[in-house]
Amino acid sequence: MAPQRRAADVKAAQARNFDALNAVVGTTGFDPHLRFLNYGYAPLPGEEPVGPKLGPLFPNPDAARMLFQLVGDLDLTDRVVADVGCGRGGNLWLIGRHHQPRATIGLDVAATSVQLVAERVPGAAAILGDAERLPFADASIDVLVSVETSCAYPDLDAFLCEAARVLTPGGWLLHSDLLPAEVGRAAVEALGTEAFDVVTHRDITANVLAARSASAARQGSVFDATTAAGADGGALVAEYLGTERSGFGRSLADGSRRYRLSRLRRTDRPAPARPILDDALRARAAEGAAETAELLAPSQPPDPDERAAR
Amino acid sequence: MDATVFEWVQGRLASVLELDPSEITPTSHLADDLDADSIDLIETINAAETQFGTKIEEQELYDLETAGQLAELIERSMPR
Repeated sequence: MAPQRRAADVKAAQARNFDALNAVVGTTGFDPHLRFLNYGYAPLPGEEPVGPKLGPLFPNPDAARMLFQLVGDLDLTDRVVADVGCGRGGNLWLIGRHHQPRATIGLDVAATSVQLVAERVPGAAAILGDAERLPFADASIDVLVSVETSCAYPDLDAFLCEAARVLTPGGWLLHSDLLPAEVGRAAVEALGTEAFDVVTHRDITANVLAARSASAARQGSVFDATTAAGADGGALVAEYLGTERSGFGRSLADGSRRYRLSRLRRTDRPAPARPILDDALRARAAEGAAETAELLAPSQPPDPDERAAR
Repeated sequence: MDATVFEWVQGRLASVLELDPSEITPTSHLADDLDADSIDLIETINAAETQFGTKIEEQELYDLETAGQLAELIERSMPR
């Protein structure tokens, strides 16, 4: 099969997967409260949490802390903020709750997610679109947020170059994801050579695993009542929860994927010419994206061990 | 605070959290004293919406600290 065709298939699968997840969540009473689709960031012992204090009953606080880690002490007042791969709009909602941006824009490949953002995130523009071909003018975005979404892009290289193109000089790319181990590191290093200054680049796998280990079982209880283990949503929900036995959980444990967080400041040098990653890394990223699509496919039968454990 | 609404909250939380209703007072801190989490709270709110026809604003919900504040929020959100 031609590479372009495969990439289009992978993107269509990602959209279907998240439409399916939204449908599963929509059957629960938690639908309006489940905003974030990231595994979360838990401070490790001795580490001070970053960002605004959340009430003791705030839902999915670790997922909110992922955004707080990325934003850090940036002043988002009067900035144009785009969340590419915005999912259910949690990041934009949270930014609107704690900051005063000039505009917030959510872009996603899944139509149901775009609709949720349009309906539920006050003031946000919601756009159905492709992260590899951003529908934004050159130097038009001040802050581009990308949380746990680039691992689904068949052409990661295209997205990174698009991010450099659309950001204003001095603007920020705030990126976190569980990419294949060698890809995540190389991507940040490649961006840091010309188009960006690398301000923060951390491996946060331990923080993400800590968040999952604290929350996955409890979050799973929300779905048990509404999604029988054998139902279509079972495997999807297990991957979404990132339990130890899920595909993502295993890939983080065995080191084939690492979860990295980076904060990159756009320089005034021109956007890089493609490609910025070599052939092997681009191929590995594409393979990782295809694997992501497969792991999240709702038709996949749930892992029998996973079912027994839940 | 409406006593009926608080009694309902007391009974509901007692059932969700497997506590004796007498352990829940208006000043009980939901997280620190009762060990409730957001999932418990959202379940309680969803039940209140069914029971009383309330529509709760999320912003207020996430900042609640005590069982009494929860009862007051439900009461404030009732259709008039």
